[in-house]
Amino acid sequence: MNFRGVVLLIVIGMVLGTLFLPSLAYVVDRRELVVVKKFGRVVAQHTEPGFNLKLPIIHEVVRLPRREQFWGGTQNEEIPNLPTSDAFKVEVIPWAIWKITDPKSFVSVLVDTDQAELRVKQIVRGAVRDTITQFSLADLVRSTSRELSFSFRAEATPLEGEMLVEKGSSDQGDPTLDAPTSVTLGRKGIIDQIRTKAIADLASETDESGGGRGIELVDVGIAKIDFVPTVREAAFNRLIALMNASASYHTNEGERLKQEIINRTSAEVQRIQGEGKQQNSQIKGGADADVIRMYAEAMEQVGEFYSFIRTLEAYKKSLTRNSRFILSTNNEFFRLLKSVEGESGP
Amino acid sequence: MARDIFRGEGGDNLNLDDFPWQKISGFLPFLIIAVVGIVLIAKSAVTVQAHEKAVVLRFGKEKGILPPGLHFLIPFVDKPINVNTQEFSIRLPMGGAENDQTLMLTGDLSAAVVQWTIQFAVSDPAKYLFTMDHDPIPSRNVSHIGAVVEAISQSVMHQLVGDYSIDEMLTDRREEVRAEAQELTETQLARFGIAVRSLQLQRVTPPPRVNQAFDEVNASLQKKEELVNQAKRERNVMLPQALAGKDKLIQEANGYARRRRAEAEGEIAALLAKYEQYKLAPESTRQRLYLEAMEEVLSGDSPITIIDDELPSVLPMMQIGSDPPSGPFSPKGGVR
Repeated sequence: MNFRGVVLLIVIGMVLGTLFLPSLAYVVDRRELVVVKKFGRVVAQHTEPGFNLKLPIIHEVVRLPRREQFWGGTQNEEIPNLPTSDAFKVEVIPWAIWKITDPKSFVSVLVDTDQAELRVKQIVRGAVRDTITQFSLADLVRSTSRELSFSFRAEATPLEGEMLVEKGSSDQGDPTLDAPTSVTLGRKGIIDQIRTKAIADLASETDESGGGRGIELVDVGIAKIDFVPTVREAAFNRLIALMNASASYHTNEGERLKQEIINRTSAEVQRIQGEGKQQNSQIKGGADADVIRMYAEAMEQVGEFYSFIRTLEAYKKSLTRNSRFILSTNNEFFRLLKSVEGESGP
Repeated sequence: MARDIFRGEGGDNLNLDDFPWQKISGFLPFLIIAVVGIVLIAKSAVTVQAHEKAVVLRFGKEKGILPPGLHFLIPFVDKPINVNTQEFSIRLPMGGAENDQTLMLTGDLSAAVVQWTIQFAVSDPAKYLFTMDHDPIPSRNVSHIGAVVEAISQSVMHQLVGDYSIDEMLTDRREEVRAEAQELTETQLARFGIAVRSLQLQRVTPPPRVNQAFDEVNASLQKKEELVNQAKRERNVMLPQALAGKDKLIQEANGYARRRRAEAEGEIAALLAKYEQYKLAPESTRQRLYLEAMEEVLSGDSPITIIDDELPSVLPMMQIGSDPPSGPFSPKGGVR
């Protein structure tokens, strides 16, 4: 009987427990924040997880998300027509991450996450507007002052103002779309500034009771910065003009390079030909000089004999044709014509 | 109890009211304990799949992380939350190419169409579970955590592209942008327990309206290269020809020089040889050579007039200047 009674008690206890435990105790999850209300008034809050007891009916448990919440980042949250300090119009898509830090204030001031999100949205959008209008477009787009390279149009530098969109060509009278060169803060710096401002704005604005809203901005970012459609058109036209210019430039540059190569080659050909002639003359001249020297040496050796032989040969060559000889018998050759004795020598 | 059973089996007076109840009430506690036990065991068993990890909460507090496999927990006290650690891939920006979503401002204030894919997985289940909300955002069909991945990746890419010119994006800096994007996204998502496994730039093109002009630029670049190659071809014809010409001149000169020297050497050798012999008998050789030469000279067709030196006045009478072939002896009248 004893054993049976114990079992019976356990069973009854378990049944009652499962029926009434939820109204007597609650578990705070690591992912939750809990506020305990007593007839509407907040009597306790739990920011750490754990097992807690409560009175049934009298205590009401309100669960809030402890994890961070995301807002924005879509086309719907776009802030249109934001003027920059240099009078461009841009569209900006911001986003923010926020979380509940003080559940007690939260349930008193904002009550639900929809209201909280609305507040985050208003404050972030305000901070974005206030900050972005202080900076130039270049600062918004660029992050560093790094020198950009333009491979398509590196050499096709347009004349001053030639290829640029004329000022006032669009209905807004936008300034020229020059590629920015120097950056004072850069996009990252501007986003940091927006974040700091939004966080401060959300924290400082308190309600009349002196407490905050119980929420905190964790992060603010900008998913996208873009031109408004009219400026974008102007940018496209400028890009088309630049590309057309560089296309014709490259074609002409090709012709120029071709001509340059051919001209250089012609010059080389001239040089080579000149060198050829030079060496030709040098070699021939050298040979001629050698021959002169060789003759001179030989003549030194043979003395008058050479001129004698050479003269005779010259006679043979030059006096054979079309010559008329008038010779005297006094000549050695004809000596014997007059007398056998002759006279020796001319 | 054994006595009861024995009596029940053996006895005739079967007590319908008492016997079954007693039997059941005897077993009831065990039955209840067994049922409760089975329920508890079933409640306490947790299966974690291969692509999952389970975060265990004990009374809401983080207690530990379970690897894949079968685990037993204290029922009602421990609560497992399975976290999917499989690798996901998304293509950004959402919405595709048909709208302006893919256009990004480049550093030269142009725009480029940039699409990329990013692969990521949960690397830290606890951080992943506790940092960012996982509930769906009411106005969108995406959870808070999903929206964060999208927004951060998009912000990073926009910021990076803003620091490169469209030329750089379209050509040589693509890989640099990709690597930087992966690193920055990785750093910013680490806080949420998410690791970026890889990131690829997909389509990077000029805006659709500019495409034609861009194609023309590419065509002109190819044309340029072609022209240069043409010129190089011509050069490759011209230079060898010139070199061949040069070589020809040099070889010709060498030939000339060799010939000239050889000839001169020959002549000189002949001269010296003659001189050697001449030296032996100079007078007689000299006379002989002279006579031989004269013989040769005077044996030609040329007319010869021989005048005796005893007749000194003949010479002025003759027509010395007249052309010998036209008749050497025919007087042409007139005295020179």
